[in-house]
Amino acid sequence: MNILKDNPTFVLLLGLCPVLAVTTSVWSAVGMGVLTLIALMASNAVIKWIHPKTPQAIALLVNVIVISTFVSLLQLIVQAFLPSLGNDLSIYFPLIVINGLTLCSLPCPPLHALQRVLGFCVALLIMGALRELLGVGTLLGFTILPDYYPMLIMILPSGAFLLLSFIMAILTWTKNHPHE
Amino acid sequence: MRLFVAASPHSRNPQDVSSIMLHVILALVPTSLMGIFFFGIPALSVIITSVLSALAFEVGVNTLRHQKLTIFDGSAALTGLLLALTLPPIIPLWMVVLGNGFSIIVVKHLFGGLGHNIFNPALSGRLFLSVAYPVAMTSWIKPHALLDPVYISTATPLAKEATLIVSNWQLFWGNVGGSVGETSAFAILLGAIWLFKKGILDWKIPGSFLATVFFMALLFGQDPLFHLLAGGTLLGAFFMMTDYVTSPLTKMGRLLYGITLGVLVMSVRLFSHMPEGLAFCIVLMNGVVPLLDKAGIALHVHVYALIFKEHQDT
Repeated sequence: MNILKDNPTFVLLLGLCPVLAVTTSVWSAVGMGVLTLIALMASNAVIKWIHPKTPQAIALLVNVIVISTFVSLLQLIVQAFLPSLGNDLSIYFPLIVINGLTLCSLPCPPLHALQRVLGFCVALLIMGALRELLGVGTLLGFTILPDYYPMLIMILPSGAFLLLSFIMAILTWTKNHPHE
Repeated sequence: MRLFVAASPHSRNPQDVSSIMLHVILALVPTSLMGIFFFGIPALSVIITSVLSALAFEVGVNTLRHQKLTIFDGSAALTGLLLALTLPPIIPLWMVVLGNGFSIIVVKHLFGGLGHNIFNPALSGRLFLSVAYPVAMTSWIKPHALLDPVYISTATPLAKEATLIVSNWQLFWGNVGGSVGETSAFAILLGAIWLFKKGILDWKIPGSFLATVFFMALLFGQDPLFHLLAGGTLLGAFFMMTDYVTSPLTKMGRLLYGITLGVLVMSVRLFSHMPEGLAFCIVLMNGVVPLLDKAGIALHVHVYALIFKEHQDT
């Protein structure tokens, strides 16, 4: 499966800032993932159409402007209809622009972009679920472990780094020991 | 006359890792006994759980890494004992096990085992617990009779809202609330003197650290003796900062390390909202030990150059 093998977060270590910042709960992690997916796929389509007409010298600038347009649109929509999610993402929202550029340097084939963004979403989901489960004892706000003593470190940045490195270690181990 | 050319080391000392570890464990016995004397059965169970779980994790990692068993060099037992001494007496025992797991597996063995760890394993384990479970890690109890089953909670003498006034004699004997092994200055000094006698402890780190704490306290109008005796100052100075693996090797580096730590610890105590930050400060400084060693060598050269120059002039 390519999504884990070539994962932008766990293998390539791209776009780590939102992974560490917004994965304190499943809800905000999924929100971040879905928004990145929408922004990136939409701008991918537009850039594919606009790219042949732009001079090479300003291609990168045009790409940034296209992605920021979609991200700004999404930010306004989220703030209007899902204000709590907007608060959770806060300053990490505009980072989607940078993630868009780092996850796949546009224009790239839509399938490739989709694979990268899905990998990013899966990473966010895994981190968000584990951190919410270990740090609060809930999943999506529902109590999963009733007698659990919450491990506060998991919803702090230091816990995110620890968890990220554990997941990376497990993935590397499975890659190096394919038969066990 | 025949001269031999050989690679270092040129002189050997009969002391090896396991004998040093054994001496340090012996030096910690009075402190542990005082902890058990003041906090009773909970302290005893914390110490036993901690040492046993540290040994168990060491065996586990050894088996996973296909290594020879390293539990007999005493380092794992020492890590467990040191971690236990920095924990509150009434901490749930599963947290003690978890902290030891972090110390031994993550901080010690993932970095390559004894001699390769960047950070002090026992203190890192304590830090992991205090970030993960801040409430359980700051519930102190009053010293009480050995078998008294009633525990009365208390504040730490270092708390910012001076709710608890203790005399320096109380702090000296250890008759105050605190971690299992940090309260009794008397017992810690006893162990430290024994280590000095054996030549295991170098005066430079504890000396420069304690002097800095003393003068910083004096400078800011606080009772210097209180700051030397309260909290983990002495336990940290003699048993945590002087860990061979995570402290500087050069003379000047050691002095720098002690002085910087003194300034850091006193800054936390005087200017931050936390009562105590000794463990954080030590682990932070562990990270810059290689730099301090480099600076130590450079300083050494400069100081000697200065002295040498003066000789030439006169």
